[in-house]
Amino acid sequence: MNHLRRASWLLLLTCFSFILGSCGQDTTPKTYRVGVLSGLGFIANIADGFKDGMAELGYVEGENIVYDVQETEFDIPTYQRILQQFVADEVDLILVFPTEASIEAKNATADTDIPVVFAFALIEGMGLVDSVREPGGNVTGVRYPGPDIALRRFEVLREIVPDADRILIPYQKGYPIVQPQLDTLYPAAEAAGVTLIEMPADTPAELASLLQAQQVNGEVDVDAILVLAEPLTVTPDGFAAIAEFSAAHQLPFGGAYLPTEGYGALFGINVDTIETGKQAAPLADKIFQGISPSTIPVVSAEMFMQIDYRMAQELGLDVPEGLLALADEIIR
Amino acid sequence: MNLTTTLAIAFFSLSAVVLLLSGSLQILSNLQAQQAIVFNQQQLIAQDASATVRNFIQENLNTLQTTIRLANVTAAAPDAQAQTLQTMLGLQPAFRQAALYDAQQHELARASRLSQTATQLFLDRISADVLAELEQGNTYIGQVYFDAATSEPLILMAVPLSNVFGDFEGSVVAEVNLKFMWDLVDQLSVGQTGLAYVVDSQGQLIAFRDTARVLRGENVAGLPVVQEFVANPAVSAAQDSANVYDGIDGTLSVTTFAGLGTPDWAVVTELPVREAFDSVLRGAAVSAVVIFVMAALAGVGGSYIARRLSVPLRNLTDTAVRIAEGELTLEAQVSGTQEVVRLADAFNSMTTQLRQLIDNLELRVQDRTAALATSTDVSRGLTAILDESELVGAVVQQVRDAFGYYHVHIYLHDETIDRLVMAGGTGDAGRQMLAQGHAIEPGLGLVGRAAITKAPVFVPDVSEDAHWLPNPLLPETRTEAAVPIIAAGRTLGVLDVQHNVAGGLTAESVELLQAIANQVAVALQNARQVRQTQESEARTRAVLESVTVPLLISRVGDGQMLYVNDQLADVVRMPIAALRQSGTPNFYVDMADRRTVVGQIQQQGAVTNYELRLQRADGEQFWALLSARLIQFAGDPAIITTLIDITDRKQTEATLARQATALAAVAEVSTAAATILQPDQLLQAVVDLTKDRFALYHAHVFLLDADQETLRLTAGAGSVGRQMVAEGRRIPLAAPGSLVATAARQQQATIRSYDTAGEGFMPHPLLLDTRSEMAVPIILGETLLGVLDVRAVELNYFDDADKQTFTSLAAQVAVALQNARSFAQAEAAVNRLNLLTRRLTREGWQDALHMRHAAQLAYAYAPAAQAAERPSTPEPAAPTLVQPLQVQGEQIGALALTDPAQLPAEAEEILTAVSARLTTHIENLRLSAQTAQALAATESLYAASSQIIRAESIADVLTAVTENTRLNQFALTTIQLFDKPWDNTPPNAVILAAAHGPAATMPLRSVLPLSAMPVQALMKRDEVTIAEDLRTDPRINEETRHFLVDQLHFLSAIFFPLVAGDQWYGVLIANHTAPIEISPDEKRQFTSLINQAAVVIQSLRLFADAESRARREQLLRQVTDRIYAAPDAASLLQATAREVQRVLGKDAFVYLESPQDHAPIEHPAAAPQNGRRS
Repeated sequence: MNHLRRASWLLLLTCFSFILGSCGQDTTPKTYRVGVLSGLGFIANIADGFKDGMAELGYVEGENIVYDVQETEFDIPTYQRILQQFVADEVDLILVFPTEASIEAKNATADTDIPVVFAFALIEGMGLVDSVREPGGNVTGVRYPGPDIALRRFEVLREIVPDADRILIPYQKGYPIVQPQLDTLYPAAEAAGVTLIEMPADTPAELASLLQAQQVNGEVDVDAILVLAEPLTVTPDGFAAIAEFSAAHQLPFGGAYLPTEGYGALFGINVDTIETGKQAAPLADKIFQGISPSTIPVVSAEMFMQIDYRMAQELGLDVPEGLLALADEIIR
Repeated sequence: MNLTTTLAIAFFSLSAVVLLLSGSLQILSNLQAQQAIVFNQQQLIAQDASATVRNFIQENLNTLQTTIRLANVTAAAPDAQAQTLQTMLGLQPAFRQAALYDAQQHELARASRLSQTATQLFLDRISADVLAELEQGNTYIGQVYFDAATSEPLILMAVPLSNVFGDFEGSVVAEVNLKFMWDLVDQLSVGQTGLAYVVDSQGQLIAFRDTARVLRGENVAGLPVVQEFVANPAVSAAQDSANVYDGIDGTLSVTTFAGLGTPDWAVVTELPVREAFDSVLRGAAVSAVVIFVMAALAGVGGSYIARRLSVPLRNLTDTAVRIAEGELTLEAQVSGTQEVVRLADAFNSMTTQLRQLIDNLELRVQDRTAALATSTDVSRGLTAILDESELVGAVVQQVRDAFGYYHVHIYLHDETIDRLVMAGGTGDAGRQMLAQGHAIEPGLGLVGRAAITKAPVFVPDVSEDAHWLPNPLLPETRTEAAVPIIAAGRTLGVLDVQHNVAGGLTAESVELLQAIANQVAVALQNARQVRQTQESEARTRAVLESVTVPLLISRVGDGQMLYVNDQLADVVRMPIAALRQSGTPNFYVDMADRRTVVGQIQQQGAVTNYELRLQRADGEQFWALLSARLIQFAGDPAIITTLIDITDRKQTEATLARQATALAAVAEVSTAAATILQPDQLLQAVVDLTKDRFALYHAHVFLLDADQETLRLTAGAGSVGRQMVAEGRRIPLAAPGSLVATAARQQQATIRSYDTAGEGFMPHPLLLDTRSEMAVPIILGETLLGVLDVRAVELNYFDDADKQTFTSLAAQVAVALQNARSFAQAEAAVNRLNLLTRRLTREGWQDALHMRHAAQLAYAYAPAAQAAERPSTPEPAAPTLVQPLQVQGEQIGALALTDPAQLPAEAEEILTAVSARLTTHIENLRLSAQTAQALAATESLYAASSQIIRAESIADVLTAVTENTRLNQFALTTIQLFDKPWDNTPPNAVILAAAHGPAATMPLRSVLPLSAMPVQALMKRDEVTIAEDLRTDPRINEETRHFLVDQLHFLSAIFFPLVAGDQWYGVLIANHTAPIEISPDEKRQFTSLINQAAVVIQSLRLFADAESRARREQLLRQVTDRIYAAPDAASLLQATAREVQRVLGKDAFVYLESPQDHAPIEHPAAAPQNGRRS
């Protein structure tokens, strides 16, 4: 009862402040404007996942939130132009992906109060955030676990093809997120007695040419092909070049799974882009509730594993049952 | 505040209080109800969330247990065990990793969604403690921790494995991702603005929408609601439904929690008070508005009623105010309530009585006022009369005329005879009584009684008073009153009034007369005081006018000049009338002096001999000696101030100080110069010291070149001077505009000042600040050696005294320079001679070594040497071979051989060669002896010069001259000074300043008329006069010759003029008892030395003169100070006499004469002798 009496008096005292406060209160709900920079076509559905996530949190598009979605392929000047427009429009938040676009967004909004939520962005060695727990600045987002995925891909490939001692690794030449993955892979490969053979290329055609150059008298000196998380090998032409080459030489090929007509990969480990978008939505919600993005920890995207069991059988490979149990999708 | 307002406020307040009480109770009731609702809602939300989390945990535990039990995993093969774990991970997405252990805590299998690196970290977390807990058969749920890479919350869950018998066979541990719980907390909806979070049993925050706070490991056990949970984690929900506390964000919120049970966590919910009680608050707001409106209406109604009650009272109040302001005829309006009507009637009755009372009082006041007016007129007339007898006459007459009395007279108390003597009376009776010197003994009659009792004595009817004594001169008297005239308790006299009308004097008349008597007492006192003051002023003025010191007296109160004498007006150059009209003029130059003077007067009552700078009316500043003292003058506090113009004294002191400093500097520079033998070093030291000691801007020395046409800069002070010397500056002697060249040509010091750079000013870029310049020729005898040029940055810095000083300095520099040059020349000559000697010796020995008969020649050489050493030895007899010894054609001797037959053929040739060598050597030896002699003379001269410069008296100078020269062989050497410089007219007398020698018998300071000097004809200003033999010298007459030769026994004499600058001020005379012979070199050396001595003597004279003047000034100042310190005229005169006696050693007395009869008005003051006045 003492608490009740104390609370009652407190309420009486705050009563008049409430009366005065309610006189000038603005009850009109705010409509948030979100600029979305989709910087890579094959992960563009991250924006859809984000919208779904925001809708689940009560943000209704057209009512209390509007989106300005700008889609483009990998092109830094285009990124910069779009971001400058977002800044000029004074949007309430920018959702941006992938890594390079996120870095540009951070730079473009450095002198503003516009928060940035990134997705599908590698943060290791990129300077995008200060730390996972306290990103600093005006950015936070969903981390792309690139090195984790690369290491997991290597381990799964070795689990399916235990005899693979020489593994070919094609990738986009000069692509910034490749090196952190290689840095993670090399110690694991050395521990397993595996030799990694790097094959950097600028275009799918060059990649195809390099693959062809790899064979000598119809034979190749590699035991398997592992693709990293980078753009060259997941473009249709690049993926097809690798798939054709591996099929021609009966080479196990895995890492990224891109269902292309007539070709496929032994397995794929990646993140679910729709889920990645959804993971970004709570971060935006917290920012709208007034929490500084600099204190909102970066979250990691969930990994998603696919196994083409049919291809494994065609190649005469045994896939451990436990591995199959961990797979999110099994193609038969 | 009026009645209407008071009543309106009362109504309003009463209504508001009632309504507020009822409204508050209503709101409180609503509040309690709403709080219960909100609490229940919060509890439901928290419990729902708690159940969800608990279910999530339980589901995972169930999955873990079910999978392991169904697969019988401990009995399976290793691959099957791993496959089982992987399958389990596939079944439950929250499981990230899992590991299987046997009963001995050995790892059997593991599975992970992550890489091997992450798996190892997981295994590291499974400690022996965890496995031991499982061995006890308990389920394990660990603490929440966070993944380093993803920051996701993780937890370890483990279950034990046992067989059908319940035996422990192993355990399985899984790492569970609690991100689900975070998402759940994020999505929990607690009203619009509420929030939820999860804490563990220690209050650690493990789930909250602000995940940064979770990741920082924040502990919120300090929050009251969390405290409640931490105190009892087993409780399932909050017990108090009114938890209104500051929430996790600091917002006042309704808080509650719901415990999970297992694990021992709790979900806490908070809803801000503002939202929780929104409806209650809105209701309260509406109630407040209603209360206010109702209270306002009550106030309006109360105001109307109050107005009806207060209007009649206000009218009555207005009427009372107007009556109080003087409208006594006004009547209050009788209307309104019964009470008000009764009040108005009583008020009107009171007003009528008051009006009547005032009318009576006014009549009495008019009578009294008329009497007082008369009394005042009488008194006013008295105040202007300052003569006592005139005052008394006026009083009796005015009192009689004003009141129509029969007779009035006044008696004044004569203390010398203790009688009341009539001082004035009206009419014939009064005149007669006055003429008779009518007097009454105190105590007798009405008048005597009034004087004794100091109280009025009143006889209303004299016929009824047996003690009343009739006065034959006043037969009609019917009534009489005597009132004492008292001031300061002392009876001055008695005012006696008689009337010939019975009842013509009343008690009131007596009071009035007493008032007049009191006024008369004051007027009498004033008159007596004025008379005393006038007498005192007359005495004071007579004293003041006898004082010749500049003096003024000013009143303290307003600064008005009360007295200024002519001397002060002269000092400040302001007419006396103007001084008196103005207040205290501000003559102070420095207001700090004024503050000091005023401060000392305020603190000590006087200031004595304060030296300060003042300015005259025309603005000229002067030094003054100020003394001031607080006195009483003309009845007022005043300050008597004396001002003595001491400008001349200060200037003299300054001049003396400067001269003393300059002379000291001259002595220092001269001493330094005398100790340096290198000319260049000497001149450099001179200019450096001159610049430094005289605090000059610059000093340098030009020396006249050998061509006698160019002055070359030889030494300059400081780095600037050295730089100018390095530039090789030269000035042609004939340069017309050059100050240096002008001084050199005219051979006298020349001064020039430069307002701006003008003709003759040749500024060196390094000396642009020059504003005064003085060029002083450096002259030795009549020979110009150079010019000393000094500069200052102040305009008109140099004066005639500086000319004299620097001329003296230049003369000593000239001597020192000449000495240094002579020394250098002598040294050079010795060096040359030594070289010659060494060369001759060397050649001789070389030749001898080449000669074949060295032994014979060596034998032959010895007699020659003996001959050279003993020139008086007789020549050998019968010389057969003689070789003459010649020097520059002059034969000085011969070399002879006695046995030429035994000589070889070449003997003549050898003899010729030897004689040539011998001649040369003999000449060299002679030159060597002469040079050594010259060097000895130079050194002697140098020693004399040094001794002269250090001399501290004229006697020292004479000693230095005589002891270092041949004058020490003279019988008498004297220095005699003229009583004035010998310019166009000769001096009158000579004074013996110093004497040396066995014939020095005349006392020093003996004065001899010049005409009595027998040798005055031989004394010349510009040259030394030598009388080598007085017996034959044609320049003296026989009388003089007789006096000198026969009486004094002097046979020779030398007269050296003593000239310094352009002044011939004395003579040095040397007398010898034998004839003398003075060579030109010796004469030149004497001249140089005496010239230097002349300069030093002149400096000593100037210094002695300056010291004498300084002593005189100091003595005068002491006398003046003591005289001015005298506080009054008597002390002044006495001090003057005493100081004059002390200074002059003579008895002295001073007296002042009266301006009228020249008779002394003060006792003559004389210096006390042996402690008493004479």
